[in-house]
Amino acid sequence: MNLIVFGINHKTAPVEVREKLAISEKALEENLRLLEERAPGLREKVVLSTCNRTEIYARVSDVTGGVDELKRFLCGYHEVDRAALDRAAYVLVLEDAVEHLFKVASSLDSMIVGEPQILGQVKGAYRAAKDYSATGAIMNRLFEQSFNVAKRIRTETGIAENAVSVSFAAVELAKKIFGDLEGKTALLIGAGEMIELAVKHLMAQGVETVLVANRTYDRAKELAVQFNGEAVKFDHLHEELKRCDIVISSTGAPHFVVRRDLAENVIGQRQNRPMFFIDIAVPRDIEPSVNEIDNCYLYNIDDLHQVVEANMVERAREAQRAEEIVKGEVEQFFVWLDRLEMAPTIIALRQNVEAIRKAEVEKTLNRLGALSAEDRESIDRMTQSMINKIIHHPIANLKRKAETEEGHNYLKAVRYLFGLDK
Amino acid sequence: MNTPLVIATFLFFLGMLKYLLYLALRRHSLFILATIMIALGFMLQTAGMVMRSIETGHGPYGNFFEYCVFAAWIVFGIFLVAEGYYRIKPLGAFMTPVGFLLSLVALIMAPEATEAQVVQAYWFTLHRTTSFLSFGAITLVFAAGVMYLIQERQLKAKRFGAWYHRLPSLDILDDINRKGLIVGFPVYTVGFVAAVVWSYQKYGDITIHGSTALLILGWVVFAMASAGRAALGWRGRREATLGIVVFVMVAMSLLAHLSK
Repeated sequence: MNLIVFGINHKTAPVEVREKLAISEKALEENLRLLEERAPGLREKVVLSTCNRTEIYARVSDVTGGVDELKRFLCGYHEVDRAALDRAAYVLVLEDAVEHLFKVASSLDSMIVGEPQILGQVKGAYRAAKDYSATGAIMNRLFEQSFNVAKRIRTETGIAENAVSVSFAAVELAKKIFGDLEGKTALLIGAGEMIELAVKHLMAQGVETVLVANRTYDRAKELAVQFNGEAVKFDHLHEELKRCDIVISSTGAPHFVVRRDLAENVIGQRQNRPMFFIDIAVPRDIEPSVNEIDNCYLYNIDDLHQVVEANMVERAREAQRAEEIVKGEVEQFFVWLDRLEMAPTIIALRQNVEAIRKAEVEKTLNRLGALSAEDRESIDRMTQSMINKIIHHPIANLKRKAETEEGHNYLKAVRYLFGLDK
Repeated sequence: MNTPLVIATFLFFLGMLKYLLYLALRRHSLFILATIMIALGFMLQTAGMVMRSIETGHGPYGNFFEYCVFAAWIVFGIFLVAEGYYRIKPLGAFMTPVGFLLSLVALIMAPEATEAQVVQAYWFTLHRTTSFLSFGAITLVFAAGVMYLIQERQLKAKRFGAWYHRLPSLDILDDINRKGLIVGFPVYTVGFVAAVVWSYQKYGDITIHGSTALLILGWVVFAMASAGRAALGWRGRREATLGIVVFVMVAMSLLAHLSK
């Protein structure tokens, strides 16, 4: 028995190939039906197709044969050039296949590591295959476990926690200061692409009111409409500041727009409720020493980049921990699989040896001719106890090893050495 | 020796170690194990206290041994509730050492004879109970205060190390401080008044010595922190620092007081 994954993804195939192999949700059932027809070597199968990958997870008895059937099917059905497919496709077997699925489901293999959509897509692919009865005990177990792995990784590591873009870093910092952004007020001074992006993220996190100030009041009004906020007069900034929790500034002014004494004043009026200043302007808009005021936090563009860098490091570290979790889970899956495979292996081994013994005993007895019933029986008993003794240790050791990580190798070795898969 | 209490202390020790290790290694399993150990220890300690009370016929206010066990029990109880409610994973590393030390001190001190006449006194019992309750609350305030100062430092200095990623938002930590003061201060005040009344009843006047002075000083800072927050809009770093000061004073007065 073998588990394989055959597929292409964003790392191995250009979009021209990926789009050809993409299968829409509607076409999935049809695809599974054709697959059953044209690739009968695939005993159980799940087809996963997203914009970044098309992968077929299958249980096969013969890897080369199964892959070949698959390739022929894909070239025929999707009209892909065989050479292009050969170049882009990867085949992973057993441990590697299981590890791959676990990584895909928990978004470790995604273009943006930690993105949450992929789990839903894997679930969808599995459900479609299951509904079509294309899966059996092993695939079911494998996929159910992959969902658990994804959940574990999400709760036990911080893989998706940290922002890796400057505008998200601003949101993350705001959350470290305010906790919840629900009902908070943000003020934009000036305009710019980054400022707009940051505001969008902040609003998505619950920031309720957006105030917009600009040197030209009309421009402020325009932007305010865009964010469903209100425009404020530039000259009234010092009055408006006290209702703002978050201030994002990006003007072209050559001097400071917010000075330390103003900020100190405002914090007093706010009864020390914290304020978060983000200064993305160069030259800077907010006097740097504002950061020294209690409950004021000032970040300029370099500081934000620094957060992103720290988060990248953190993410890499968390991804490493996630991979450790994946490794442990792969082992667990094979312990289960071995237990499942052990009984049939032992039965096959017994039957195999017994068949040889019977044939040989019969041959010998025929050759020897006239023997008493007692002699015949004693020959029969002798051969029986011989084979029992010979296979006693292999079976006992196999049972013992089946509970360990190496179990799978031993099972494989036994099946191979005794020719049980022929 | 009270076996459940010994085992409980051992479990607290293991739990504390695991919380500290969790802080360093950030293995989720360590955190889960730590919480299980503390919860088990807490249950055993509860059993141990009940056993002891049946034995002595009164609540855990009889002597230094019992005070320490009781104070530890409250600290762990409040810790378990706070951890469950706020889900701040590093909280254990800051609170469990306090509880563990109290349990350990209790074990080292032999359970001496009970001051029987003391146990009967209503005001005295009230004083002890409320003091321990507020001590539990102020331990939580202390832990939140330390975390606040660390996180605030990270945000101000723009150093984004492991602390930055692991500690919760300033807002939550400030909220714990606020709630801890709201609950802790009135209870502490009741305990304080009860002590005065009791002392007056017993000795006919109010004597002030070392431990009482600390108790009063603790109350003054406590009052300052509460009033500052309520009336002057103090918050954040200032309140976090005051919370830590209150904890240190109350802890010292508790020890000075009880070891008499």
